[in-house]
Amino acid sequence: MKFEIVFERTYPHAIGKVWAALTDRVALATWLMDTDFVPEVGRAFRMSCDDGEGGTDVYACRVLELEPQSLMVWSWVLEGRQSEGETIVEFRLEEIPHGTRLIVKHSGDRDPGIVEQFQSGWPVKLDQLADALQTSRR
Amino acid sequence: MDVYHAIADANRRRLLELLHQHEHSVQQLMPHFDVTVGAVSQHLKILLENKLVSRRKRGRFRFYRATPAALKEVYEWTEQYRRFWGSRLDRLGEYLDDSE
Repeated sequence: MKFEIVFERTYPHAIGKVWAALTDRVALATWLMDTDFVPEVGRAFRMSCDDGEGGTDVYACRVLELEPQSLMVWSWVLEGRQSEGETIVEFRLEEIPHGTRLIVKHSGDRDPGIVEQFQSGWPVKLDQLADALQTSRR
Repeated sequence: MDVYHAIADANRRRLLELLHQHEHSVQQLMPHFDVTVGAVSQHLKILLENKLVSRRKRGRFRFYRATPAALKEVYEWTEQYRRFWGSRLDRLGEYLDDSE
């Protein structure tokens, strides 16, 4: 089963500045997570953050695509959960008047066999779920 | 068609609610809808393809039921990352504003 969420934001800053914030490890540590990221296609890197319960979540990532000031794609998987499959994070930048549009798409595909392990009740009202998904796809 | 489109349709959401309560055949579902048998079958086919319902044969009829695990999974996944990226992209905005 495929998953996908899309965020779109505009920032009143030049595209070069936004690109730098996405590709500089010191900047990434400020707004995203601690990382040993290097902007080079094929490079593996890790991202880590508090898991909110006193531990640390570590994500194993890799740079899949890099087009300066335009597109960056990472593979992204929580360490220890590799069996659930990789997810893909895509950052897309567009120059707009007085700023920059950033579109972040996070997608994944889960093995249905894994899904079967999550047997339990109906999660939420379906209409709410549809609304939530609609919002996240904007 | 992906799971998001599968649940974007009001008829299909109604089908999922009915099939969550208990299993139904197409014939048992029909009184709940204003559309043709063909349309209901088509909606069921889409739900089946997205593993949102399962089907079993009993005698001459096929019975459908909802498989909520698939939706729970998609909901938890999207909620988790929606919160995550929402807060991180706010922080990116603050970072950009603060650094010259």
